[in-house]
Amino acid sequence: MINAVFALVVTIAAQCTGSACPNPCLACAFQPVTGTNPSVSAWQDLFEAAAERRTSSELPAIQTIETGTARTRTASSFPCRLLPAVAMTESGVAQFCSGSNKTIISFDCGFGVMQVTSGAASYPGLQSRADINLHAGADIMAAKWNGNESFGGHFGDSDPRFIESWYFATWAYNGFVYSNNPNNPAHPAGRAPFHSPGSSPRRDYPYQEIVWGYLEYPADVAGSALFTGLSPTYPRTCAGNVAACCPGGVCRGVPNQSGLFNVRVPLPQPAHIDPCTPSCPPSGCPAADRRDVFLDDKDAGFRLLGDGSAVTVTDEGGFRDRFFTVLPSSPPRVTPRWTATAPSSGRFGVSGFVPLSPASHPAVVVVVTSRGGARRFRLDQSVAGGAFFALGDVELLHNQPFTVELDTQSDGRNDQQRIGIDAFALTWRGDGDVVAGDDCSATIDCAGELLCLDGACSPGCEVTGCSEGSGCQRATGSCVVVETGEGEGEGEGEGEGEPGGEGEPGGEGEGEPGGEGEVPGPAPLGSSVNRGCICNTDDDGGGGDVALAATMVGLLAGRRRRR
Amino acid sequence: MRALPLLTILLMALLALPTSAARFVIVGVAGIDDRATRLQAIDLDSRAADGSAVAFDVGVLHHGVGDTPTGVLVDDRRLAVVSPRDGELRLFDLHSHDERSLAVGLMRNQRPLVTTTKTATGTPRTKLIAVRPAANGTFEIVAVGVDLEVDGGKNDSGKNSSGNNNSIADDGEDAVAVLAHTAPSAWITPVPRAASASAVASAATLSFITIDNSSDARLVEVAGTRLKTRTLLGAGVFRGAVLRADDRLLVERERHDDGGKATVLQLTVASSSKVREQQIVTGLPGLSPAVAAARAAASTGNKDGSIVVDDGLAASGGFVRWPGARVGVARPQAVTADGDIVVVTAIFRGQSLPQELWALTPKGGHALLTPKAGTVVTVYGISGGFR
Repeated sequence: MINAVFALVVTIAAQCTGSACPNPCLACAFQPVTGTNPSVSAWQDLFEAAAERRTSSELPAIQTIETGTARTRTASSFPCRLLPAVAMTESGVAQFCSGSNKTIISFDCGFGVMQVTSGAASYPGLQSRADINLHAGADIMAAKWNGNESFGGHFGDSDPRFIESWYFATWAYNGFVYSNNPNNPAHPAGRAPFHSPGSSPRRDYPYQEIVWGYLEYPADVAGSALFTGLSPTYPRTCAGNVAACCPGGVCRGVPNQSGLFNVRVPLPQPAHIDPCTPSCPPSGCPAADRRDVFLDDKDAGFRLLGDGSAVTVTDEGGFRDRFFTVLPSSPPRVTPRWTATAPSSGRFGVSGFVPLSPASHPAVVVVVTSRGGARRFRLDQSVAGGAFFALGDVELLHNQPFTVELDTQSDGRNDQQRIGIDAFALTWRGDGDVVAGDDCSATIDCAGELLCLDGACSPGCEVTGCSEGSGCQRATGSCVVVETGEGEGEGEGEGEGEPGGEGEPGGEGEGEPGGEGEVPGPAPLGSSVNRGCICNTDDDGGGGDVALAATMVGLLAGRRRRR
Repeated sequence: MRALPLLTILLMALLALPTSAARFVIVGVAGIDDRATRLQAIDLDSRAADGSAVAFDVGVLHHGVGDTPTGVLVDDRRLAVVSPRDGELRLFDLHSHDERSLAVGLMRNQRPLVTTTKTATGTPRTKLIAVRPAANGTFEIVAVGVDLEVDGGKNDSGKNSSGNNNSIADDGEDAVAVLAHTAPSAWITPVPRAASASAVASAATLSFITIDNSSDARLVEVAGTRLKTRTLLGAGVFRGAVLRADDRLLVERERHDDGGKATVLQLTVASSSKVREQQIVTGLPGLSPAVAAARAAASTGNKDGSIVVDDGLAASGGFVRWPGARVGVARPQAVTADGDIVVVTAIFRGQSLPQELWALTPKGGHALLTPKAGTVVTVYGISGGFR
C-alpha cells in the first residue's frame, strides 16, 4: 500500500495526465495564473522584439549564438518568422487557455506559449507573462543552435540570417531524437508540407517539419493572420548513415541515424533571409499587392513559339488545371514563353509549378530574362508535383517587361520524358545590399537598379550610355544592337534569326543547365527601343514587350559572359 | 409525446445502418487543426444515384489539435487507435461508441498489428502487437489482448504483467504481455506475419524490421522473449513492410543512391542469413505497399495514379499494372479481396490540393472521398460489414 502511494506520488510529481486546458498541470515548478492572451498585433510586437533581442531588465537574457565559419559569438537576430512558427507548433500561439484563462501548463510541465519545459525554473515569470515566456523560448533556441556538435551539426557557414540554418536547432528544441529524423520510416515518404492543403496528419511529420509547414502555411491566431507565409527550403534527406552520406566530410543531407551526430550540410537552396525589417530598394518596399506575380499558360502573355502541333494538352493537374507537355527535341520544335510586367522593383524569387502526369522531365531548363540579363535555372519535373518549386532569384524593375522561357532542346538523356508547360510564380524578396563599385556575383546582389558587371555593381546603360549603333534596353540594363527592325517577332524564340549560331533558345553552350548565370548582351534593337542612352520610362510597358523580344533576338545573335 | 421524437431518431439511426453484410472502408476525417476526428464508414460496393459514395458517421475520436490518431481495425466493429500525445492505446467500438484504454506508453506514430492466434484449446484469440519505447533507445515488443468483452467483464486493461506471458499464442488473460525486451534498435517496424487467422503455427513467428545505430536495416523475429536477428537487409529506409505469404515480404526501400526514387521489393527469406530480393516497381517515394488476404498492391510511383496489383498466391509474384482513375500519385491504403479485389488508394495531388480517396478495381475506379483543402483522411481499414 505504501509502495502504491509512493508510486502515485512519484507519478504525480513527474507529470500530469489529460489536456493542459482547461485544467493545467499543477505539479510543476510554477502554478498557473490567470491572464489574457495578447491581441494579434501585440503578439506580432512581442515576437519581433524577441527576434531582434530587444530586451529589458525584466526579461530573460537571450544568449549570443555562434556564427560564421569560426563559430564566433554574436548577438544576431533570429529570423523574424521562426519564433512565431515555433509558438504555433507548441501552443497555437497562446499563453493562457481560452475559457479558463489559466496558464497553459501541459502534462509534461511545458509552460505557456513556447511550452518551455527544460530549465523552466530559471525563467521566473514565464508562467504569467507572454514576453518572458517568449524570451525564455528564444534563449533555449539559441542554446540549441550553440549545441550544434550535439544537435546534428550545422548548415553552410552557420549564418543565422537564413531560416534554413535553423533546421537542426528547431529539431533540438523538441528533442534531438530519432522520431524527429526526417528519414524515420514512421514518417511517410513524399509527404506534402505540413498544413498545406494536401497535408498529412501532424503525426506524420518530424517536429521541425511542422514548424517549417507553419512557416509556409501559417495557422490563424484568434481568427487573424499572424504572419504571411514563407516557403522554406527543406534539407535533403539521406537514407544512409553518416559515413555513407558524407563523402569527403560534407554531408549531402540529413543522415538516417539515431542519437547525436555532428555533420556539415550545405545550406539548402534557395535559402531565405527573413529580417523583421526587410531591406527595400530606394523606392521603398512595394505594397502587398505588388509583391507577387503569377504566369500561367492561360494568361494573355503566354505564347507557344514554333510548331504548336508538337504539344499535347492535359486538362487537369496543372496550376490552373490545364497544362501542355512536349517532348524535348533537337532542334527544339517549340519554345513556350510567358511575358509580363514587373509589379515592383527588387529581388524576386522564381518558382515553377510542377504539373502532374505526364510531365516528368527531370531537368527542364528555365530562362528568365529581366534586369541584368538572362538567368537560367533547372526545374525537376520528375517529382510528385502539384506544387511550386523554388528555382532561384532574379531582379525585376518596376513596370518593365520580363520573360520566362522553357528550353525544350534535347539534352540527349531524357528524350522520352515530357516537359510540362504550365506556370511560374515570382515573389518579392527585398533588395540587394551591395553598393556601386563593390564586389558582386549577380545582379540580385546589387542595390537598387545597379547591375553586376564584371564582378562589381555598376549602373546600367541608362547611366553609362551605349556605343554608336546600339541602344539602351532599360528592362535589362544592357545595350542592344540597333537594326532596322528585321528579324523581330517569331524569329526570336525559334532561333530563326541566327540559326546554327551559339545562341539557341536557352543558350546552350553559355553555361551548364542548372547553373545560374546572367547573360546580358547586345541585341538587335526594335523600333520601340530607345536610341542611344535615351532609356524607356516606367510608363512604356506596352512597348517593352517588343523591346524585350528584341533582346531575346540579341541573345541569339551573340553573347558574352559577364562573370 | 416526448418519447416520439426519440423513437423517430432511433428508427432513423437504425435505418441508416446497413442491414446486410457489406464492405466498408473505415476512415477518420478531420480538419488539419481540429481536436476531433469524425469516423466514417464508406460503402465500397454501392453508390448513390449521382455516383457519389455512400457514407455515414460511426463515431468521433477526440484528441489534441491536429493529432489525428493512427490506428487499425481490429475486426468488423472495433477500432484500435494510438494517441499521438502519449501513446495510449484505446479500443473504440463503432456500434456502441464505447471507448476504453488498453495500454499506455506505446510508440505514438505506429499503428499496431492485429494478430489472431489459436489458444491451446483451439479458441481464436485476437491480440494487438505493438512496440513500446524502453530505456536507452531500445524497445519492448508487447501484445495486448483485445478479446475482453467491451462491457468490462474481464477488463483489466492497462495493467502490465511483464514476463508472465511471453508467447504470442498464449492462453493468458493479461491485457499486456511483453514478448521481447529491449530490442536494440533505433526504430522498429512490425511485419504482420501473424495477421491471418490461420497462418500462425507457432508462438514465435512475428517478424520485424529494425534500424540500428549505423542505420542498417535488419529483419528480425521474436523468439521466445528474445529478438533474434535473421538477416541484414542493408542500409536504407524501409517503409511499409508487409507480408504477402509465408516468408515473403513486400517492402518499400529508399537509399541515398537511388536518385530520389524508391523501390518496392519482394523479399523471400531463403534462410536465416539469406534473403532473395526481387524488384517489383521503382518510382517516386511513397509507394505504399499494402496487402490483405494474400493480395498485394503498391503504387507505381508515377503521377498518373496507377498501381501494381499481384494475382494473389502466384509464387512468381505476377504483378500487373492497373491504370489510374485520377492523376496524382497513388498510395494504396488497404486491399480487400472478398469478392472482386478492391484497392483503396489515396491520390496525392501535391501540396496545393487535398488528397482524395479512391476505390480501384480492374474495371476502373470511383471516388470514395473528395475532401476540401486542409482535411486529413486516415484509412483505418476495411470492415466486412456491421452485424
